[in-house]
Amino acid sequence: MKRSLMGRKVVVFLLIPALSLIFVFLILPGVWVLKIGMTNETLTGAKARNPDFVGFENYVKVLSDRFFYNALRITLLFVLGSAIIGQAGLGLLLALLTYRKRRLKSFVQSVVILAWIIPEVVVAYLWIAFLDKDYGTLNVILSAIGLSKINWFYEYPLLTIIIFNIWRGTAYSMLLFSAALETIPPSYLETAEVIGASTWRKFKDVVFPNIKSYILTDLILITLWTFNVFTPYLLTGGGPSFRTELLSIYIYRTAFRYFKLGYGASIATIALLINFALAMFYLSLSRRRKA
Amino acid sequence: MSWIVLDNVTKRFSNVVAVNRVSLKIERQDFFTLLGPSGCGKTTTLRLIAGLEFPDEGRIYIAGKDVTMELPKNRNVAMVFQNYALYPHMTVRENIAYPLLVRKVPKKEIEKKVAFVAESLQISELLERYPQQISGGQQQRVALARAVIQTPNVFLLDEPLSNLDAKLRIEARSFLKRLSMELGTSVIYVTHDQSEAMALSTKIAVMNQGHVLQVGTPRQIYDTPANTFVASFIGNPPMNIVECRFDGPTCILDGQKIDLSELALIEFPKERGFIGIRPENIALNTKEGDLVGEVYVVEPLGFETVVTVKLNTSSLRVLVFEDVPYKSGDRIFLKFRKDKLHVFDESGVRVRRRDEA
Repeated sequence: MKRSLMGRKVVVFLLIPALSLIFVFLILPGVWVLKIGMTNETLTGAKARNPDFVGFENYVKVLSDRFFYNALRITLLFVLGSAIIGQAGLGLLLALLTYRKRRLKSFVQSVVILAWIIPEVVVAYLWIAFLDKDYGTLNVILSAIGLSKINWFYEYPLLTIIIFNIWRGTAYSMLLFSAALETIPPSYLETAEVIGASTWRKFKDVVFPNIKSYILTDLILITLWTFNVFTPYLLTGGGPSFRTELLSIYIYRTAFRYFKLGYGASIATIALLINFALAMFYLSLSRRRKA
Repeated sequence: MSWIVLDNVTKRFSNVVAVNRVSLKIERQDFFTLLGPSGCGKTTTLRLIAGLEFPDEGRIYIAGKDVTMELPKNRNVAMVFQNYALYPHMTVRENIAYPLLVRKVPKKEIEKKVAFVAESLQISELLERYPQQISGGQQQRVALARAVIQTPNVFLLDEPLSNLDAKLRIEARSFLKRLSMELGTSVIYVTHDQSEAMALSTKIAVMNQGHVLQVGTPRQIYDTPANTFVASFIGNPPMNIVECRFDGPTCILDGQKIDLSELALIEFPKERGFIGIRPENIALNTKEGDLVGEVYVVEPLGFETVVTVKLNTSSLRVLVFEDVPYKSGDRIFLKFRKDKLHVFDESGVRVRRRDEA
């Protein structure tokens, strides 16, 4: 049997603070959300004090709620566009382009990390300023080179928040993939080089199989993060006419703008289940690869 | 023209000169070893031949063609790396077949060739396994198989034995020598292990600090080292090299005089110089000899015994193949085999004898 470094009592004692924090701030609210999801509790009014237990009534309602389906569709498009294609794709491309080019890599990394570390509210205002219809930097540039100005937030709202989120989050994927590439022994690629493999073959046969598990890990994380992200609210407020209303924004609107706490909690529970299913899907992929 | 020619090749990395005006001629039947300590430029030289690096100056020719600035794939070379670089996600069969797959050889033919190469390298029963499921020695054979199947102009081997444990290394060495005779083209081999170089090579180039110090057959390198570096790098235990003063043909070592007039050197060093003699070319006895000293330590190694003898300030190692009746502190005489004694001038360059070409 493996002997642990410390006695069992010490281990339990040291775990207590962390576990109690997790319990108070994660498990309890989770259970609370589950509970009020089965009530008609509201934020104000009579039902705020005396909510009724309604069972699965909220869930049944959600399943025929067109705003829910709208939000789900937009969220999935947002995840696919900004996380899977955008952040992971662009991150991988940047990592490959800067592989073994030390100066270029540190320059590109500094730039993308900058987008990552600026506080969210500041970033949102930067983009509002950048994309403003009349005075935004982008439109000024466009009109300077003779193109017409575009009202980004009204004409391409979903595309706008997708590009915004790619810009915002590519750093993580790029850093992860750069580190993954470093784990490939240079001789693997040099062998392929001497053999005469093309660039595409080198990627397909040597690079990709060796960083597959890193790609899966990255996809799990950024999918879940992007699924639950709220920052686009600061740019578009979910509009115009719900065209950028992500699930997280819809939950917020239901619970805190329309005060329907119980109903909002039931949508949140469904979102949690979707997240869980996505995570399971990725994990099963990575298990199958190993077998 | 030789099969492979390096003509005044220089390679710099920022400010470091890794390979400094190296010229080599390698014949088709050569097992040619680049030998030297780490950082001497031997691996860089190999990579220049492979095309993984490009020289700053000089030209490289393979099979009569100037390939100085050609990409590796246009040189038809095969390289085996120190870590073998077998792809962990491919089976042994896929690894061996990969070069042919890249060259779009028909499937039927690939199958036939893989079977043949695997057979001749005795790895047929490993074909369906993954590299991490076979031993280090087997991995090395797979890496060799992947090189052999390319039928290259030259095999480039970068320390292929150094990842194996001592016992396996000797075995793999014999296998490699046997294999190299059947390859029918030149092998360029990089190692820091002089015994590997001696055992395998038809020719050795000893390198240090980017320079080639000497090129020759193992015998030439061993018997007539060009300078003190080569002399001390080859052989185990290494050659004894001690500084001494010269007075004509007389060498004064720690106050004792040795008459070297029978060596018939072209000229003797003016004042300071070195003499060098291999441990197996010194005999010990208790009565008379060229030098007298004191036994410092006796190290029996089984077949042979290393006796270290201390003079005033310097010490000499002696290899004895009989039983050693001496113990530490004994007074002892050393007798040199003069025909095996080397004299080096003040800068460390070996002084030739009159009868040497």
